[in-house]
Amino acid sequence: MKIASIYVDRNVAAHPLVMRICAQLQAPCKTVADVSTVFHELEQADDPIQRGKEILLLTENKGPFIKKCPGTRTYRCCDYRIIHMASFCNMDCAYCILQVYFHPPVLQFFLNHEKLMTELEQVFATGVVTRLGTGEFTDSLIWESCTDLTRQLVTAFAHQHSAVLELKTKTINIDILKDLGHNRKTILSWSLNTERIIRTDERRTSSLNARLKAAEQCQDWGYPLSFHFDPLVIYDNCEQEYRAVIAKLFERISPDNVVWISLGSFRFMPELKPLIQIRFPESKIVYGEFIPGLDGKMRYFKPLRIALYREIIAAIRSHAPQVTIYFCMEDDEVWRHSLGFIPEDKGGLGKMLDESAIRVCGLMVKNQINDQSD
Amino acid sequence: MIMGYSIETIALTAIDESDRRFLITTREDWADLLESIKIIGLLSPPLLLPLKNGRYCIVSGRRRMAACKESTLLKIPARILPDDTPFQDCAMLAVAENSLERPLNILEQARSYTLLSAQIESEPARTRIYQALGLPHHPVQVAKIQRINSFPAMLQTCVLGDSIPLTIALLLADLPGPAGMLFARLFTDLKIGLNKQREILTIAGEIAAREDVDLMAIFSQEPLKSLLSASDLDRGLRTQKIREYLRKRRYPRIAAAEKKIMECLKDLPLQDDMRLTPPPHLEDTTYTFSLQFRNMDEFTKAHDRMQALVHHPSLTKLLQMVSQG
Ligand code: SF4
Repeated sequence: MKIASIYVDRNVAAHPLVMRICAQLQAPCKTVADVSTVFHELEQADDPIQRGKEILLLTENKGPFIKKCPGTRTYRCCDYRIIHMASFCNMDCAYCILQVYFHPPVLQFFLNHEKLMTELEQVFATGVVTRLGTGEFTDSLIWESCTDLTRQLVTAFAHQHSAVLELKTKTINIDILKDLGHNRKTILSWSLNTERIIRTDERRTSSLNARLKAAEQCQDWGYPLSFHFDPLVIYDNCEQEYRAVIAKLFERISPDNVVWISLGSFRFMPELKPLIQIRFPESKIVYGEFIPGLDGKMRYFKPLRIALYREIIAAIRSHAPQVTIYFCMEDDEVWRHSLGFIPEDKGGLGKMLDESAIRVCGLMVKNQINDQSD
Repeated sequence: MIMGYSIETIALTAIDESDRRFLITTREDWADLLESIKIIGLLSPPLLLPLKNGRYCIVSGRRRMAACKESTLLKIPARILPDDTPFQDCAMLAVAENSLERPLNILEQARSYTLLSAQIESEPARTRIYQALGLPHHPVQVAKIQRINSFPAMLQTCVLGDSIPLTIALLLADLPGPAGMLFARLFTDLKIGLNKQREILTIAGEIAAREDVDLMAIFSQEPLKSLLSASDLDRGLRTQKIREYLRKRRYPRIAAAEKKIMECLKDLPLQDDMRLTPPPHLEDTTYTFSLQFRNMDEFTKAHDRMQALVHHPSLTKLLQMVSQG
C-alpha cells in the first residue's frame, strides 16, 4: 500500500501496532490531538477522494465493530454482519459507494482489536449461525502489508463452529493465507466483472485472470469461496462478456467449493453521478437506463435488470446447477421473475445463505455443537 | 486611499476614447443623454486620468462623452484625477461611479470583478471591496460571474438578454468547438426556460458520452438536423419534438415501455370514471385502480365493466410488463 502520510490519533499513539505500521509503510507520521484536522486537510485538496486514498489515519473504533448490514424495507437484504475494522480503499472503482458514503472518505484503520475480538467472542458464544465480513467499508485484503489482523481473524474463526468470515477483495494479496489453519470457516471472496469494466471502471484492481488464479490458489489451500457479480453493468454485448467471465470462473473453480454467488446490478446514490463524471471521464456506467429506485438510489429499469439476471443465472446454472445464487438488494418481483422463487419460499434469504454456509463450510448449529461436546 | 480631483475644461479631441481599460458599461448608445445635454448642459462631468502623452483616459462618463461629441461642444468640463493616481483607485472609481448609481447588469459586474481583482490579491480584501461597491461578493458567485468576460460575444448577449441563464451559459462555454454556440442559438430560438435548457443539454451530452460521438454530430443527424432549422414550426411543438427524440435516444427501452403502457391503457375500456395507474417507472409493484360512482346503479354497471377488464388481453400485457419490458 502506497501512503503519502500517516496520521495517528493521540488516543492510540502508544499502541504497539503504530510503530510497526509506520515502519512498514515508510511514510511520514504525525500524531494529532483532534482527528477532525485530518478531515479538514482533506477537504482542502483538489481531489479529496484521491487524497483520501493517500492518507492513512490510525485510530480507534469508538462504536461497535460488528454491525448489521443496512437493508431496506423493499429490497431484500441478507442478514449479514459487517466487521468494521477499517474504512475506504486504495484502489479506485468508479462506482465505489465509499466515495460518497464517508464525508470526506479517508483510509482509516482501527487499532483497538481487543474490543473487536471481545465482540467476536460474544457472537461465537451464541452458537447461532452467523455470516460476517470485513469487505463492506473497505477491501478485505488491502491491509496485509501493515497488519496481521487477517491472520488473527482467520484463526479466531477456525476455532469455533457457528460463524463464517467472508474476506471480500479485488486484490490478489493472498500470501498470508497460505499456511493458516482456517478450518474452512473463512470464505475467500472475489468481486468479478467483465474485463472491459475492470479496465474502464476499476482502477488499480487486479485483472480478472489474476483474481481467478488467486481464487483457485485459495481453493487449493482448502478455503471455501464465494463470488460477487456486483455491480453488473449493462452495455452492448454485456451478456456475452458476462457469460465469458462465468465460463472462465468455472474452468478453475469447483462449483462444490462455492458457498454462494451474489448478483447485484449497478445502483448509485444520485450524488455519485457527477463525481464519476469528473473523476472517471472515460467511464460510461452512468449513462445506462436508470430510474429512481424506492430506496432513493438510481437503478436500471427493472425489465432490463431482470433480463440480464436471467442470462447470468442461466450461464451460472449451466456450469453449477446447485450453487446458491442470491440477489443483493432486489425485491420479490425480481427474485420471482429471475430465479423462479422468492426467499420466503426457502425460509428467507438469511436462512438460504446460512444453509449454504453449513453445507460448504461445515458450520454446526447450536444443537450439533452441544451433541459433540456431550 | 483615493485622492481628490480638479475640475478643468478639456478639449474633446484630447480624450483617448480607444483606451477602454476602465470600461464598465455595456451600453453603447447615448441618444437619451444627448437631449438633456443640449438643453441643460453637462451636469456631471466625466472622470479622466491624464496620460503620459498629454491626452486623457476615461475612468467614467464614456456615454456622456460620446453624447457631448455628437452635440456641437468642442470642450467640456471634466474631473481630472492626479496623474499619479494608482490603477487600483481608478478601478474602484470606475466601478463605484456605475454601481452606486444604478444596478449593474451581469456583464458589467463581470467587468468590474476583472478590473478590481487584477489589483487586489487577497480574497478577503477583494470581498470587502466588492461589498462596499454594492457588488455580489460571495467568492463562488464572483468566480462564476467573472467567467462571462471570457464568453464569446454571442453568448454574452444571450446572458444579457436573459435568453440563457448564467448556469447554462457556464456549461455552454465549456463545450468543445462550436457546440456551445449551437445550443445558445437553439435555446434563444426556442425561448425555453432553465429546466428545459438543462434537460436538452444534459441528455444530449449523455448520448454523446455514451456513444462516443461529438455533440455536433448528434445535431447534424436527422431528425434533429431538420428540427434545428424548422423555424416555420411552432416553437412549443419544435421543443417537444426535440425533447422527445433526445429522450427516446437516451432511454430507448424506457421510452418503448412507456409507449407500450400508453397503448395498453388506451386499449382498455376504462372510460372517464375508471383510472388505472401503473407503478412509477415500473419499479414498485403496486398498480392503482380508481373508480368514481354516485349510486348503486352506477357501481353495479361499473362492476360489470370491471369483469370485462379482468379478462382483457391489454391488462394481462400491462401486468406482464415488468418481466418482459
Ligand atoms: S475495491 Fe471496493 S472498496 Fe475499493 S474502490 Fe473498488 S469498490 Fe471501493
